[in-house]
Amino acid sequence: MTIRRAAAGVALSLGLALTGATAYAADPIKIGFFAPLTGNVANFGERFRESVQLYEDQVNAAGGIDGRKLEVVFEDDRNSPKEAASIAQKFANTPGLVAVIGSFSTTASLAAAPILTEAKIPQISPSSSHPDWPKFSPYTFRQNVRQDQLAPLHAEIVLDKLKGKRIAIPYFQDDWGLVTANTTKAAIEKRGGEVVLVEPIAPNSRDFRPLVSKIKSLNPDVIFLPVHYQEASAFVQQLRQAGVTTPIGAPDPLSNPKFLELAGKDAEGVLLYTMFFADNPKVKSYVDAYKAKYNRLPDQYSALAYDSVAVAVNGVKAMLKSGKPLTGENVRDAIATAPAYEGLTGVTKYDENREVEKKSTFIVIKSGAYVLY
Amino acid sequence: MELFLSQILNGLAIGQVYALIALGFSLVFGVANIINFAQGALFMLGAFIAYSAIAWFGLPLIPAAIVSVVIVAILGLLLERIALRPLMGAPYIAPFLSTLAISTIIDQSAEIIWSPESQPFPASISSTTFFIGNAYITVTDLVIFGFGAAATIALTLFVSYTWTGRALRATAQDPAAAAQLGIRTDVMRQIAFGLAGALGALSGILVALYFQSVFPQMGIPFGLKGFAAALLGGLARIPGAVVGGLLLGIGETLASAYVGDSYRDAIAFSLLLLMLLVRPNGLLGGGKLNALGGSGAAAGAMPTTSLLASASSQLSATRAYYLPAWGFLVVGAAFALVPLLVSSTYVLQALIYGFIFALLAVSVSLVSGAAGILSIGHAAFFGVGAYAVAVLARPYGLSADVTLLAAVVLTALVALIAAIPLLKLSGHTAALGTLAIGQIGFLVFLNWVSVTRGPMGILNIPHPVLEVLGGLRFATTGQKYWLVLGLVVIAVVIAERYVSSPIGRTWRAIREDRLAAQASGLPVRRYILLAFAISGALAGLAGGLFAYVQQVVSPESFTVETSILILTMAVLGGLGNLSGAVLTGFALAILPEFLRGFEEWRMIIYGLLLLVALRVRPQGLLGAR
Repeated sequence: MTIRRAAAGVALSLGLALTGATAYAADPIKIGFFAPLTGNVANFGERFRESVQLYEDQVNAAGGIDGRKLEVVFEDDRNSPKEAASIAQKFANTPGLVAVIGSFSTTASLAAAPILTEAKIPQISPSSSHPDWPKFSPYTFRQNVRQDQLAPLHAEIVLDKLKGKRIAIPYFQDDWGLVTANTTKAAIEKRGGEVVLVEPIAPNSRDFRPLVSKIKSLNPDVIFLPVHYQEASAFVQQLRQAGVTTPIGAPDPLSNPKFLELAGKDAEGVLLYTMFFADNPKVKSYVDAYKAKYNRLPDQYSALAYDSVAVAVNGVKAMLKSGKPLTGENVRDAIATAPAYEGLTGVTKYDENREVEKKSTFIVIKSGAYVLY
Repeated sequence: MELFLSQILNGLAIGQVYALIALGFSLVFGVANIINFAQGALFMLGAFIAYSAIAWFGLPLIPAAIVSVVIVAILGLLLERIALRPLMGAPYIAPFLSTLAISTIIDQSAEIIWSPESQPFPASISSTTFFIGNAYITVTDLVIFGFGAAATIALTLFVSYTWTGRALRATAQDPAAAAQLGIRTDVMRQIAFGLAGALGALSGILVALYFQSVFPQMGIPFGLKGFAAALLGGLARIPGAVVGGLLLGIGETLASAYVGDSYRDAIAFSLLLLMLLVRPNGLLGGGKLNALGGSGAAAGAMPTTSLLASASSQLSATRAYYLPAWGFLVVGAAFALVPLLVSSTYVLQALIYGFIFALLAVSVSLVSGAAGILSIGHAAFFGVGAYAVAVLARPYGLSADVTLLAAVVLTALVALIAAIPLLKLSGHTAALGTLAIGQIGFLVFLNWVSVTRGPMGILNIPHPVLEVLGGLRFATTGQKYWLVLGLVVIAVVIAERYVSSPIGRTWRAIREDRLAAQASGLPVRRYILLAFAISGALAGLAGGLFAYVQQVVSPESFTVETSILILTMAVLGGLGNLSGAVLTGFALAILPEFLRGFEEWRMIIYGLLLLVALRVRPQGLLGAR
């Protein structure tokens, strides 16, 4: 696949050389992109990259932005803060680069943020879920929703929809998992539910039998699972293998076709919500284009990345229309004050804290597919 | 009680998985005296090749498994031929690094071939589960157990009763004598690697069946556990690997059950450290490690005590190039001019990381290069320094003089305390001890949420202000460049003065022959503690500077991969050669930036460059001192 991509790149540049680069009116508009493309969480970064690449191709095929070519600079941070900071410096030193998309984890995003803020370049992270992320500076934005706003939704899933009273919460040990588990626990207890277990799952671990035995002996009514799909699929398999039939509720990261594939029949009945539902007719053209290009279905992470770059480019477009000079600072203002934009994951309208509010759809896994609840 | 019994069953189930991986380590170690860090990568490849044979070519499970075992066994042979044979006679550490480089290459290639995603394993044995009350055991568990037992027995019979097996053991005991008696020791080594590859593939397939999925990053976590299990049971002992694996499995399962899943690995590695104190040779370990200069510290009756000993012949055969202490001042002064000539903050930032890692490499070089204790845990010390600065500078708003000093002193103390359990160990067991310390450090950063904020990290660390210089504030990248450069140069000069002094000579004496050093009346332990304290101070300074440069500190920066990277830097520079450590630390830290153009091939090229460097200069780039 990669070799093909490299070959395509060579073919593309040859093609450009033949047709001449004069097709575009002025200098290209540059946007930086960084995410983990290799290493432990490369599967998420790869989703981001695919969507942003798709967007870039679509925009340029349609004649670019006001006749100017969109050029995305792709970089790999390996989920390392050190590499993220180096990449941010590289972007800050790239003339004409007016916005940055990235990264996957909050720590990588935050390592880049001080540098990009100083260079006055807006940064939109598709997925950083740390409560302090947008507060960092006027230049930090995100596309996902604040975790504490989602907590009442989580309580609704486990208490109302799955009718649980005693809840167990095994969570993924990163900033997202920790915040989700804590805010969800508070929301459940506020409504009179009981949380019998809150325990982290270490990244990349696959053996959950000790935890499963413990949960089995506690006998909760519902399990809430803020865990990424790779670990979550192993967890539900081992849970069902142990004969535990407790219903499972989960937040949005499990709305991923890969989860269905990995967990198989053990994923049946998991109730969750998502901001991006691939069967929604509104997103059909994106889903079809993505599938045609990459031969697999997009997930919520690809959709969030697509919306991130779309929001950034909308800011650029508004800038060009207003006639102000195209600088990172102006693009930031345009993004912050842009009118509501309806994307794949819902409406983006930044409030004064650069947060978004998006509506979620409840879905449930039935016969190996996501269906509306 | 029922819960306890079911947890014991769970422990046995995962323990047999560890045991299978441990067998591969033991075999190679027994014959070739090499800790094969690529074993985890071979294990992962075994799982993925079987996956491809089933998913892409439609083979049934058993033929797919055979194909995979054969291919990986051949890869094992190739590994020996390409990466290790050329390093015969080189210092012991060179083949170790070589296997590390190979493992980087294989891991990254797998991500390119199979994508970084997890894949569901397309075959399963049976989904039947037997329940005994609340405890349960699956058919898959029993099959793995059967295979593990069969592999162990077959291997034991093979090594004990066949001619090839005897020749293997003879090679393990004394390669020179075996060669004189007509045994082709190079062939024996190849056989050992081929067998280890086959075992690795077999365990990879069984693990894939067990967890019903394969993922390209599986080599490192399972490899580490297998390595730990092998050492726990006693390296180079076949039953030891099995006992070690089962014990590790039960121990960590009980930890997870009664303390919490987040403490699982912390407790597993703490137990390991304790075990090493009581029985440094492992539970079933015999005299094998002693013959290698394994355990028993200076009191043991062994010729040499460190696997880092450069062997005197190497020392006289190759020249070491190094700068005197004042040389670092000259180089530092030259680098100080760079911000006047280069305005790109990208370049300056890369150079800053280069300086910080140069200092880290020097820190490891003191312990590993000069005093001869292989440290695979320095990221913990690096992290202590970074967290010390982060905690003191953020909520308490202290100036950089205070925070950096605190980082230096605190890390020196932590290193000193960490060194105490290591004093009785040497050789591989000391290396395992440092690995355990590194893992414990990482897990403390991750789990001690009230101080380190765990996975949330500490954000918004303010710019450093030096009260000594009248409240001078270092806010821009250029200003931080000078701060880091200045402090790193001072620290390296002090370290170099130590290494060139009689203290440094004593360290090298301990590295080359701990027994002789002790016999000459040197207080060996005190010198080792001193090496750790100074090394810790330097790592703490590096960590503190890192926190200021980065402005955010989170556990991801202090993983075992970081430890291995720093060790690679220190060793590749040349044992005990601080100029070499500075050069390679600096070069390897900025090299990935130069390789950005290669995109996902970057780490493969990085691994290849390492291999070439080892091939050309196995004694280190600037030679051992």
